[in-house]
Amino acid sequence: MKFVSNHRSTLIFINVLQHSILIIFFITNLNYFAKFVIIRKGNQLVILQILYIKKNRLQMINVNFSFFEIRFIKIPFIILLFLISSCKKHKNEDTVTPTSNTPVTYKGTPYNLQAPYYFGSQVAAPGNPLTVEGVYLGRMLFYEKKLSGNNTMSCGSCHKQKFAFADSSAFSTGIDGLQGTRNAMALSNLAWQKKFFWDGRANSIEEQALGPIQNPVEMHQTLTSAIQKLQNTPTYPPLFKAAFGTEVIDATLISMAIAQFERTLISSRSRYDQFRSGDQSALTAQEQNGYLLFTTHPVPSSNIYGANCSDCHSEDLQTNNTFQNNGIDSVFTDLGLEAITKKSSDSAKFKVPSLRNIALTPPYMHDGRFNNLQQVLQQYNAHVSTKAPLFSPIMGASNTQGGFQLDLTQQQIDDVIAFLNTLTDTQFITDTTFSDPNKH
Amino acid sequence: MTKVKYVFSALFIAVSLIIYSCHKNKDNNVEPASVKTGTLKLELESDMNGNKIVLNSAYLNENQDTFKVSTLKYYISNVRLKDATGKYYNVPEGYYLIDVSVSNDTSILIPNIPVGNYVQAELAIGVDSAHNHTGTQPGALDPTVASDMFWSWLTGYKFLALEGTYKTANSNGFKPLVFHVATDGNVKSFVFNAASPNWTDINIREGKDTKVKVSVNIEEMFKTPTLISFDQTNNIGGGPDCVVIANNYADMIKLTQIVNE
Repeated sequence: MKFVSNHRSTLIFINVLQHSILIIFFITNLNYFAKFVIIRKGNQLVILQILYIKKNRLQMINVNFSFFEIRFIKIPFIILLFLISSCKKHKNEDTVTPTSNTPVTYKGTPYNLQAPYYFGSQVAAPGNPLTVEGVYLGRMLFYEKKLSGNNTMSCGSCHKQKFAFADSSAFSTGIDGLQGTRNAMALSNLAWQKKFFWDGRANSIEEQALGPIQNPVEMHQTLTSAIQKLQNTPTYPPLFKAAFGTEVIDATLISMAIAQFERTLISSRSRYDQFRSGDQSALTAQEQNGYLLFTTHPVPSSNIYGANCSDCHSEDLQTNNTFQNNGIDSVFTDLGLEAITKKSSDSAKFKVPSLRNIALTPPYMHDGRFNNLQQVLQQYNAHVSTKAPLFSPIMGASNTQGGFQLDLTQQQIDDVIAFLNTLTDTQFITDTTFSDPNKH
Repeated sequence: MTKVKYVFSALFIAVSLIIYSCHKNKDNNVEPASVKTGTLKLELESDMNGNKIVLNSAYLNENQDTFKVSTLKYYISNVRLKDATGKYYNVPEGYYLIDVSVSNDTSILIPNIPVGNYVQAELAIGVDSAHNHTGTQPGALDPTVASDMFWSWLTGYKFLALEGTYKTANSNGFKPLVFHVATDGNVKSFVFNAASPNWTDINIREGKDTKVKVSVNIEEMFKTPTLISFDQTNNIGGGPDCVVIANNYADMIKLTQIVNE
């Protein structure tokens, strides 16, 4: 880490509070950020802490280094700052290149996202690191009704925490009383997902977040109007300043803040997670049998029974992030992924949803056609459209020799559903760090 | 006295901070290599009986069943080279996912191989048991990257996934065809040496790419030693059928050329 200046974007603040004698100064440009915490001890100045960003991560050095006697503060500081800012950029420096179109100088306090190790690697979110201030702003915006045309709806109106951020209606009703054609998706563990919306048309949460605001059947408001409304409040400009260093609100910053908040929606405190962490007693015998069926491909000739769920709903987020035609229709009214990719092989393919909290998120399927998990399992068990080759071949797995339907027994179906219920995370739906900040 | 103290502390803080600020970043410095190394370029052509496979085209298997492949992915791993003294160089953490929807002609660059003459090369299809049961691994084994190749910590990875449709005299129209070959014990190694056709010793040279070209004939999965009839075997993801298919790999990978630059 070097404190470098490209003279263009270096900001240096010296803040000497006469009474508390707390001096903090920042040296920052697009790639670097450093913050010194300096206090007065007697008649000496002591550097207590140096915070800096290295390879996009916050590093902290705790030091206890006394230097000037207070009466000589002015001259050495000028010399010091001059020397630091005139250090030349070194060729071997570790550069962090912001890939966002709107490069944002790092400002906030890094947010420590806690997730189980078995979730694996997150999808990178270049240019939008989580900060405490950004997440808070995002949470405010998630529940902000001013983002809708008539100030009656927010993201949280259809993504309700009590339903694991899904909607209990098949189709949510927008501000004009109109309904869409797809079921609102549950939100959890989004930092591990690559594509958003049922048809995958958004490549990031940032991209996704602006969709419903503008959609005529949803929040129905232009971004210009949304920005104007927020800009005119006393609340938001300072929150944007704290999160992104500017009071000038724009659509990119709105999307970045909402995305930051949504990345914190981690559901990892279900009974399944206790089981995954090694507590075999966390699941009952029936639930464990359901888990075995869930993860097993059937081999009828060897009497190996399976529900083959994890071909798509793979661990540990119970989705493999692919798009599949699951054979629920032989004639399609909604082309799904094909409408985006224009490839006929993507016909009626929809995003494989995570099954986290699945018991809380009826109705099911992209169009919310099934009201309960029994109907879903019955569909997969016996009613998959065999109008090949339009549906995914993996839907043809069978517990019957020579069969093409799953053909589980009712008991096996009940066991799988018992397992699905263990994915419910009651702490997730009551966690006040995810709830409307104006209601607490 | 105060003046001396002032000058001293000013110099000290300035010098130490400048050293700290401007010191060379050691993280990115490559340690001087103690061993000279070169690169092995493994070129894999995914074939159907000698022709590069084309997805969604109709083929005939040995049993005269018609089939089309919509998805074909497999893991290449455990690449190692043996020198004349019998010593192996094992490529560390070498897991490579071949995805035919990306290309049916894939080059894998394996750098940092010690220079020298090698008399035997090996590679495997699959993921060894030590790596097969955790979903938190980097590179090609990262489920966030290769999402549809991982099932669960219990059942592990699909080593080879072939999906598509088939039609036989007995079937009414195309039916789903799924071969998910997996399970510990079904990792298959392939050895190439002086006994193999097209072999010449592999000479790894500093700064050069030595090419090893192999063809992977997918059709071999369905014949020798066990002839597969799709009416009987069409949707597998574990169990004894996986063992049969993995054993059928035996003639699947053939060395076609070694080019020492």
